[in-house]
Amino acid sequence: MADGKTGNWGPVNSILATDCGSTTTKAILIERQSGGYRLVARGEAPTTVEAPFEDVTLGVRNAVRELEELTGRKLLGQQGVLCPRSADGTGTDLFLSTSSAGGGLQMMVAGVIKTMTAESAQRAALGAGAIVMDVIAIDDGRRPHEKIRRIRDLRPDMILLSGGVDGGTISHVAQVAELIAAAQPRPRLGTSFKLPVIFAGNVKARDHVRKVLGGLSDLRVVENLRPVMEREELGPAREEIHRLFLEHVMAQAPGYATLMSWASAPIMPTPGAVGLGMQNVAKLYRTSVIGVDIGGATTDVFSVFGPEQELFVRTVSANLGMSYSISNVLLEAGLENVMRWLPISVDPVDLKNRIRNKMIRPTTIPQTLEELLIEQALAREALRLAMEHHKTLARGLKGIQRLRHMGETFDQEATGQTHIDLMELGILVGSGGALSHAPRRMQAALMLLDAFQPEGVTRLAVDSIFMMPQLGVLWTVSPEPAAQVFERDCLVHLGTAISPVGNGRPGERAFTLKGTLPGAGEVEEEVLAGQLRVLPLGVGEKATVEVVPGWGMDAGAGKGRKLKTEVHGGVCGLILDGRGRPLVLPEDPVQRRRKLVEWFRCVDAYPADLLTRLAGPLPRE
Amino acid sequence: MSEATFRVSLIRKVRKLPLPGEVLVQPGQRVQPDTVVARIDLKPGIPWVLPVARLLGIEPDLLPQAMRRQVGDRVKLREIIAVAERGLYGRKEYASPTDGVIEEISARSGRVIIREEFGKEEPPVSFDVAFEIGCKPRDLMKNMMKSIGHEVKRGQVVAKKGETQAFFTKTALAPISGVITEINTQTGYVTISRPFKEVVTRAYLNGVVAEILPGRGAVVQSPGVKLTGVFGVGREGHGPLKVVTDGTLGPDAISPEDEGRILVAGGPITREALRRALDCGVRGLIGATAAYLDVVETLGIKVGVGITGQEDIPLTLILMEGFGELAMRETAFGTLRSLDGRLACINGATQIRAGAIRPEVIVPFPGWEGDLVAETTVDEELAPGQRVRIVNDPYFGHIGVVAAIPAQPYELPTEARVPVAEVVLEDRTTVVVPRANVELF
Repeated sequence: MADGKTGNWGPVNSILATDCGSTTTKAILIERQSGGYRLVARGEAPTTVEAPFEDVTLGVRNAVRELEELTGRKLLGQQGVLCPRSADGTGTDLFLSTSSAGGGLQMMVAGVIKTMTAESAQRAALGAGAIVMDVIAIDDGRRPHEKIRRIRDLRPDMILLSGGVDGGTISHVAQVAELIAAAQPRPRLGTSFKLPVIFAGNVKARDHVRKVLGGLSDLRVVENLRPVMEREELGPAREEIHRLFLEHVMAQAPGYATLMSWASAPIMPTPGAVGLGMQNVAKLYRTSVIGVDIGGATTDVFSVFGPEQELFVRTVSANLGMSYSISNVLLEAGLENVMRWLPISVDPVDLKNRIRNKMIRPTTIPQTLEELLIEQALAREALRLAMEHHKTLARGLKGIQRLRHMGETFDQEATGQTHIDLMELGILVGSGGALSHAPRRMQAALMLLDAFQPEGVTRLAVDSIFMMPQLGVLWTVSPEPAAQVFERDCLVHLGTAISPVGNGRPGERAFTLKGTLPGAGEVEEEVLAGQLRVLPLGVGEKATVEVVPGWGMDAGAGKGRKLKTEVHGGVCGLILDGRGRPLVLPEDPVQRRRKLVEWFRCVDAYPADLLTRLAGPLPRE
Repeated sequence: MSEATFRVSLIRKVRKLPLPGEVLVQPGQRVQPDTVVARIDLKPGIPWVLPVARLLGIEPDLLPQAMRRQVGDRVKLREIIAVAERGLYGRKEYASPTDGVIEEISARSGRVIIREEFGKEEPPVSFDVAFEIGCKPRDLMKNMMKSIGHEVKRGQVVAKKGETQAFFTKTALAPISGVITEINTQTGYVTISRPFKEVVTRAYLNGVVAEILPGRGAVVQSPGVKLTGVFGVGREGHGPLKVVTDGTLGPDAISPEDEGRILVAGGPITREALRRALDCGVRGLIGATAAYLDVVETLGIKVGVGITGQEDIPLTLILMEGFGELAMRETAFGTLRSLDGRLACINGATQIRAGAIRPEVIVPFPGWEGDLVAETTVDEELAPGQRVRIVNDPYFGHIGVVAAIPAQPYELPTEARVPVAEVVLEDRTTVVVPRANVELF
């Protein structure tokens, strides 16, 4: 605990939680009502970490003051947030906070082999909510002096060093430790204290690492994150990262010492808290989850897979975002890829200028449908690229021996394959302005479908007001209110999408859906290849349906095999996606635009008359 | 000069070294923009990581006994630093490949780290690589293993000819450690310079040293006028301000006499003007807007996420309004016009994030004795009667006056419900725009 408080809070009737982001501080108030815990109000104010204020608590006070005005409750006193609650009802029972202000947590990781221990260390750092500035390994292709220079130039908040399996050779990990020592690295914030280094490698190398780095750095030794080749143990390293984040990074940032003294539990890095939130979604629904948070500067992707939902991976695409990084989205995706999602014709030069303008004036919002379409086309590409990046890290361990069965004799599958299986994916959760604030929810659903291309049967949801960080940290201290608020106020269920894998020829049957829907009664819908449709299925409603895929198509039970499954409703309904996987758009620009207009109209994603007018005449051939 | 068009405030600048060093000024001292405030005597040396145990053919744990020199010892090039007695196999010696100080002897990895000492400020060394590898000077580029800007160590292969027949391969080795600064395909010579870098921090303003930051630098202050732009590139610089035009800046308005000056245009800057300014040695350009492609292509820079201002370009460019085709805000242009001829200090550093760092123009008035106004840091709230500019489509670039600020959110054509402002444009039409899309003009 941040200030030695224990976990005994007594009955929790009201919870105040804040998230200090890089631009805004968001506060939410949760209270126990007759039916359980609910979100009561939300307030926000600019973050005050930088000059001229240089005190994060000012922003927190302003955001909480907005809550006070909205609810008429007294939450603030002279000394800060009133916690615990006093007898007259003022204050709150729990006060929690997350933070990504001041650039978040920036780390450097090092390991012996790039695709083995260094990659494990990278996963540990990312999972803890860090931005990984560089990965140093013996085999990273750089010469020792280049690595040393890089370490010295980077000035991370901390370094995570791993390497070797327990009891194995120590000479390699010793080499990496010596490189770090030779660089005499300095921390990013504050020059008076030593740079924290976490050693999570071969237990036999501990003494040597202590000798080499002990005097130079604030060395912490934790359990090996790769004790044997076949297993990763990222927990202890992650916990140590969180502890150091509080002790060093947070303590250096202006005002955080006070904020920590107010909080009932340790302050968490925002992405770490969102990650916990996503893991809890997976536990709650007992299914695999992909979550994405598309921000102004960065896009985070989280995935929880595996039979027990035990494979949790988070990645940060540090230069994919919708405002500050929007130019980079265009650069990485290419103009062609952005233009392919536009049902209207746009001058490429004009498009580029608009995008630069969004970069330097990040708070502007689209006023016309044309602008909105462009923004959403860029969002699709940012999401797609972030997912591609995620797949490269969300994979099995490399370099391990695997027992092969007789049947696998001719199987050429190598180790280290991605464990993202879009067919197995249960829920796809979107968050961030572009998805949460899309004028029609169907637009968010389409962006998720187009960017991630989930296969088979997948539930879609968005985070209503981006309260995942606060709920993530709440989950660590009081899971019950977190789960309740999460289900009732945080997640907006969009519905379920049925998207069989395969590409049928136009006019052929993609699949047939049979079943009884609460609103529409008995249905038997035939969906043709290239079609996109939607059936009404409201929030909280569910139905058991039968999906009969067309020839060569697979809805999850195998090619051409019938699938019986339960589908859940949402604000959009049941989306029948016969466009095929992978999703292929027509090559010809006019035909492609015609197809896009057809899809958007079929699911009523945009104001129909305006869309038709903007798209202009689109001849069939 | 009419002084009513600008406001003088007290400008304080923290001038700090990245690492501790020596402060060269006194409190109260008058400084010029070029005065060195603080300096670092840091000469970073290249560390050589040498697998000595392996080269001697001994186990790593025997390395400390084999070493003839210890940690902290200064060693010379070709000095024997380790000797292995290998019984029947005889004796093997290891000579240092560089001058330097032994920093580490590891019995675990069997490696020795020697940090090469810099600071000798040796002149750059040119050597005939084409001759050494036996190629024509014009073919040098395709045989080079390293390109300009690469760091090389003494003895490292910089060029190689003949890939397939190893026996006939000819190589050229770097005679000193340093950075490759020239590859001449006329003469066949390659030049390697010492990466000797003196880190200094200059005063940036002409003013007075207000405070000393021990070991790090000083705070320089002066009364002055400060303007901030939207986007900039290029480093800190200074020069006399010259207002060239109130409209679009073309190449004809710039002449060789403008060398070292900071030119101001009230409208967009064209690609040709940018190129002409570079040719004429103009120190800075302040304009309303420019086309993004013109900026990156003419100046040869890359704009990514993060901070600009570190570009190695001779000119600092400050765009007061961003990209596209817009006129400069009247207040800003009026201020610049009234400061024509004065010394201006400019910095293009921009951080495209949360408005953290914006490019700035500072005109110091060291002898100012009039009133000082406080620097305003908080944005004014939007109110009826204010002149605004719309910064997003469909009215991008239009100027108008706020007629009303409706309390209720309004539904846009996109169907999003947002807070809006009613603005009367110059052609007297009234439009409704999101408040996020207007800025005070």
